[in-house]
Amino acid sequence: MSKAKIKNHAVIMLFLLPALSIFAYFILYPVGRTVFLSFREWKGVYGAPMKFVGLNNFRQVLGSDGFWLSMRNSLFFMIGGFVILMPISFALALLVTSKLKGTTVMKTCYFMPIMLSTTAVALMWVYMLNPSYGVINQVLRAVGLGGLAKEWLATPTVNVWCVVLVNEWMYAGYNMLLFAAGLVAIPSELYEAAEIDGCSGWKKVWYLSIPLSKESFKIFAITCVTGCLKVFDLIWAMTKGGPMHSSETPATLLYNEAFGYKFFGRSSAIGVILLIIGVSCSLVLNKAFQGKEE
Amino acid sequence: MKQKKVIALALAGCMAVSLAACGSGGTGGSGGSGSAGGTDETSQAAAASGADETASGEEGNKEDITISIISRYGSDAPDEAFFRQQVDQYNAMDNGVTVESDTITTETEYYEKVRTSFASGDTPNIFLEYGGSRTIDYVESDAIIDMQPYFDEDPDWYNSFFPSMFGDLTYDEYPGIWGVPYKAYTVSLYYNKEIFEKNNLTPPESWDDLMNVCQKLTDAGVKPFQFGDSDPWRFGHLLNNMVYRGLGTDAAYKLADRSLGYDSPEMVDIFQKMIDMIDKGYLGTDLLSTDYNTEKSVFASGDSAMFLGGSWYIAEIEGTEFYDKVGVVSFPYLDEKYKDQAQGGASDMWFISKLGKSEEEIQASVDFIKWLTSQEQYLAYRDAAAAIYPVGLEASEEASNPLLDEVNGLVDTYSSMMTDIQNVDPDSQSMDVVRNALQGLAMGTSAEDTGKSIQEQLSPAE
Repeated sequence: MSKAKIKNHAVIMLFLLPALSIFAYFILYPVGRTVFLSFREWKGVYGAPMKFVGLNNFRQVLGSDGFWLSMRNSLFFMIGGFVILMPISFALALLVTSKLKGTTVMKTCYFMPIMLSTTAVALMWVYMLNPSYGVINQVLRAVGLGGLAKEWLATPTVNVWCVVLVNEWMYAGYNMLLFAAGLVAIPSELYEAAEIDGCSGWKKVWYLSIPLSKESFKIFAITCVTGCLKVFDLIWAMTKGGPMHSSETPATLLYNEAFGYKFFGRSSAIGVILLIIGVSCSLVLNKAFQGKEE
Repeated sequence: MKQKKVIALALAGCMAVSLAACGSGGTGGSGGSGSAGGTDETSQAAAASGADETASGEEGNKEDITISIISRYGSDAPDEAFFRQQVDQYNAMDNGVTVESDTITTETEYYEKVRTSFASGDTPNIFLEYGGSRTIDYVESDAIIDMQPYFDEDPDWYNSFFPSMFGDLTYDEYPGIWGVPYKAYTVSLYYNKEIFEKNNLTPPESWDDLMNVCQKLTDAGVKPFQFGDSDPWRFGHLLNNMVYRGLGTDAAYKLADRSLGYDSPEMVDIFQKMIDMIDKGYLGTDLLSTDYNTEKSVFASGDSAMFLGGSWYIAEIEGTEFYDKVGVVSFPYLDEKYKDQAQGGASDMWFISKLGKSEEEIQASVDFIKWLTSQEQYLAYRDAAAAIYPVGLEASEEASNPLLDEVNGLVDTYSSMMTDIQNVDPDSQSMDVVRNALQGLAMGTSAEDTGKSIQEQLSPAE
C-alpha cells in the first residue's frame, strides 16, 4: 500500500473514531455487559459479587408464565400495529397527499399526537379511562350503556388493548408521514398512464399506490415489529405493567425484574432474548420483502 | 491539499477531545461518586469497601464536603415540610457540610430511583428505607454502614431511642445496627364520627362488629371504605392487620421461616375474608384504579366512613376542619386472643451508603443523621407535626393533640407491635410478591390460588 493511501486511511479512521467510540461505548459495551450479566446472578448492588449461573436465568425466564404473558401482550401490540395502525396511517397518507383542500391543516392535526410527550398522552388517557370520573365511562353511562363501563386499565387483557389503541392514536400521524413520503415519490406519469388505461379511483390505490409503497410498508413492518417487542413508555406510564403483572410487556417485565425484584441476571436474560427475537424478526422481514422484490 | 489535511486532522482532534471531555464529567462536587467509572470487578470491590481513594487530595477538605440525602418527604404534610426545614437549618449552620436533599414522594418511583442508584454505584450518601427484608441486600453486599460503632461511641444517642425501634435494623446473620430510626408509627382504624352518629353506629371492636358496621353503612348507601390498591401497599397493610389481629404478630416469623405457608388454611381464610369484603363492596369501588391519595380524599370528603391509616395521617389532617370529625380505634380483632397486637414500630429509617464514599463523607453523613435525630430536633419536630416518635420525649406543655393522644392510648394497650409482615422475611422480594398477588383478589383470583401463587414465588425455607 502506498504512503498516500495509508495516510488517507488514517484520516478516515480519525474521522470515524468519535462515532465508533460512541457506538462502542453506548451500544456495544452495554450489550456486552447485558450478555455477561445474563449468565450471572446479581442483586443489583454495585460491587457485589456476580455469581455465574450458566443458562439458569434463561431457563427461568422461558419457563415462567409471566414472560409468555408479556410476549402475548407484545403480540397484541403487533396485531394492533398491522390491523389498525397500518391501514389508518396509509389512509391518512392517501388523504394528505390527495388534491383535496386543507391537507396542510389535516397533516398538522394528524401529526399533533406525536408532538406531545408520551407521559402527557398517557396521563390524558388515564384520566379519560378512569372508571369513576373518566369521560369514556361517563359517556357510556349517559347513553344508557353503563353496563359496558369498566375499570379499563385494571381489567386484564382489556387494559392492554386500551394501551394498544392509545398507541395507534399516538403514532398514526407519524406513520402517515412515512407512507406519505413513499406516495409522493411515485411518478405522476404512472397514474396518468393508468388513467388512460381505464384505471381509476380505488383501482389506482390497489394496483399502483400500494405496490409502489412496498418500501414504506417494509420500513413500517420492521419498525412496528421491533417497536412492539420493546414497547415500554406508554404501558409504563399508563399501567406500570399491572395490576398483578397483567399488562406487562417484555420491556416492562425486564425493568420490573431488575428494579422491582432486583433480579438483574434474569432481567438481562430477558434483554438478550428480546435482542435475539428483534434481530431475527428484522432479518426475516427484510428477507421476505427482498424475496418479493426479486 | 496539505491545508485540507491539516484542517481534517484539527477537526478530528477537536471531536476526539470533546468526546473525552464528555467522558470525564460526573465526578464533581464532593467526589462522592468518583469511583463509579470502574468496570472490572476488582475496582467495584474496592469501591464497595468504603474506600479511601476519593478521600485524598482536595476532595478530602472537609470544608468542601457536600452530602446528598434522598427521601420521600416532598409533600406539604407538616412532618415532611419540617424535614425540609431541618435540611435548610443544617445548611444555614455553615459547618462546612452542605446537605443536598432530593425527594420523591411516591413509593414505587422512590424505590426505583434508590435501586437504580445502587445498581450504578452512584448512590446518595443517605437514603430513607424501611429496613428488614427491604434492606437486607444492601447489608449482604456490604453497601451500607454499620451504625453499631457510632452508637457505641455515643450511648446517650443510642439510648434515646426505644429499644423496639431497632427490630428492623438488625439481622441475625449480620451482627450490627444497619440504620437509624427516624419515625415510628402504628396503623389504626380512623372513622368519620358524623357518619357513625348519623347511622347510630359504634366503632367496631371485633371482626363481626366490622362486618355489621359495613353492612349497615352499605344499606344506608355509604361506602364503608374506599381502598386505593393501585398503590399495592394498601392491601398489604390490610393483610398485616388481619394477620396480626387474627393470628398474632408471631405469624410474621412463621411466614418468614415457612412454618406457616401463605397457602395454609389460616392464610387462605384471611384472603377469603378480604375477597368477601371486596365482593360485598365494603372496600369500595374501582379498587385497582384508585390510589392512596384518592382514598384519603374520599374519606375526607365524607364519601367513605372508615380509613385504615398510619399515625402519620394525623399530621396530614391536623388543622383542617375534618380533623374534629375523625375518631380512631384499633383495627378490629379477628381473634380476641390477639387484640393487644398490632401493626406498628419504626417506620422511616436512615441508611448511610458507603459505595464509593470517602471517610469524610461517611462521617459527615453520620453527624447529620445524629443531629437530625437529636432530642432538640425531635422536640422541634413535635412542635411542627403530630406524630409518634421513636425516642422518648419530655412531656409537652403545649395543648395536646386529641387524635394523637387517642392513638398513643391505643399503643399503650398493645403488648406486641410489628411492622410489615414481610420485613422479617429472608426473601427480599417477598414484599413485592405478596402485594402484587393481593391485587389479584380484586381481579377475581381465588383465595387458594392467591396463597399458592405467593408460596410458589417465595424462596423455600432454608
